[in-house]
Amino acid sequence: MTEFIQALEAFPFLRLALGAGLLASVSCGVVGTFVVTRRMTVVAGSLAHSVLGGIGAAHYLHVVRGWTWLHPLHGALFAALLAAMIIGWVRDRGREREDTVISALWAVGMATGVLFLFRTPGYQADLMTYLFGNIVVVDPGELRLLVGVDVIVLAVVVAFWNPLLAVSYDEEFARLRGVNVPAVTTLLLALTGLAIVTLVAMVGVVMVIALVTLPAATAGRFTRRLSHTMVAAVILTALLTTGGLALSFQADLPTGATTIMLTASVYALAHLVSAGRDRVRRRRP
Amino acid sequence: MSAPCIVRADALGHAYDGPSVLQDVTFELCEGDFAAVVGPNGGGKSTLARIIVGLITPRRGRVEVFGSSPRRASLDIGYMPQHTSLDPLFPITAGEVVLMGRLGRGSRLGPWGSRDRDVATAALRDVGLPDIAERRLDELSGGQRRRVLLARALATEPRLLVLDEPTAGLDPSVQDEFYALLRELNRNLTILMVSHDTSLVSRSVTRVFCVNGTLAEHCLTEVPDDWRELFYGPRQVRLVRHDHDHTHDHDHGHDHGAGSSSHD
Repeated sequence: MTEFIQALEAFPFLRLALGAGLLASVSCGVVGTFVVTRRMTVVAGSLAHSVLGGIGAAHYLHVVRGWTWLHPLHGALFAALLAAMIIGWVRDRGREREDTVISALWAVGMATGVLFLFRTPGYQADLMTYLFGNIVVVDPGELRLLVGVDVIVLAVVVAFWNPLLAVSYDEEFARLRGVNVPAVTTLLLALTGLAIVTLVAMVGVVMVIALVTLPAATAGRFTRRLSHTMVAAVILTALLTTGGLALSFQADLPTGATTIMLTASVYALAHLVSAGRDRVRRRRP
Repeated sequence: MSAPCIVRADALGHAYDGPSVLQDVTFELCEGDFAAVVGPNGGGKSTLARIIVGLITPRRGRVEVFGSSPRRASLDIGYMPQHTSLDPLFPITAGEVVLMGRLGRGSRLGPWGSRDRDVATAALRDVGLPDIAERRLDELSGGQRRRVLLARALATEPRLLVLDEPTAGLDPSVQDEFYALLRELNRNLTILMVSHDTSLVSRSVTRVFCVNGTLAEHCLTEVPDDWRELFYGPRQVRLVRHDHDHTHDHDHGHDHGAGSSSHD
């Protein structure tokens, strides 16, 4: 650990990666809790993969067309919000089967990203970067973007907490009480897209879903309120991204994959502890 | 003077993707009624309840609640869904569930106001659970969870209470307590309750609607003690005598299941 702390002082890219992980923890912990409790994991997976289309397009325009102001994460944000609106619309009034559309967005987003990156010089390295994450691509501009996303996510969740909780727990009852359920659902999907984008650079689109859902699922086993689950999930995600970064640096391993393995290990451990606790409770007279 | 009509259904019919679930359902529910909707599984009981609260728009016929469409009237209806439709592992406390009843009545944005919290506390007290607001829902017994959902419906400050199978899966003694609570609430509230259990229901309600595709109202009549003993032993049960109104009674063969009331 001392070696990692010294490296943090020596290497700016490590500090940027640490900052990105901590900032991403806020929105991912908050939104991931909704994703888990509303059982939207597959939807979140589709959103995560569809952002590759936006990343690819933005990267292409940046490199080939000279749109230097356009960051790949801008494209990711656009793609995530577009996919969220499409899924929200299909859930509300589409005649297509929802899972079919979710799968289609998943694949079409990936295909779009691959095609754009194929036409962009340096395609091979960039594709791997966005699929599996690369902490070196984190830059100060991205940190500012992450701060903005966190502020938006927190403000929206605090303001709309009551309808968000009601729609997550009992959608029908919320509708009867005058809550605009399709609008709240689309809002939640959009927040999920934003949260996913914050982690894409670090762990990549393929693995980001684990870091959005597993900390929240772990925290949910030991908390009694959704708000407490969120706070615990934020702290846990911060520890896991920092731990993954430190472990990968020490062992010279890819940060994204290391972080995901650490996250999955903690989830499995929590599952065992929680199952044991439940067994003890059941045995009590 | 008769009590004002709260719910008026006229030639109501509904089908999902297949054959009709409900057809030609006509009835009125008046202020102060405590009506049970009974019938076999798949007979359309829950569909009827969901039409009345505005969750389903019927394909045929007309339904009015408080003189307007169910959707417009939905804020005046306290609805308790079947408990199986809710995630039992959702991390939420009893108090938070009850406060959901304040949606549409209380604060739109931000935290709940003090009046909302007062109403939710009173609702929990009314259902006999004044001290469980901070308990996680999955730590409560089945009967307590139903009472929490009932408290949520009461927190809406309703004029009509619609309950969908509120006692399904509960022990008979817990069901008895629940129905006693509903009788208390019926002093100030009109109640429509879907139930598969006619034996316990019939002790509590003032009207029985039997639904199996269509609807027939049954009159409640005490059955002689020797009959009661014969069918149910010493347990106190009031049986329902079924006098079908044959105007709406096409293809109305039904079975209320073992242990339910007898059909005279």
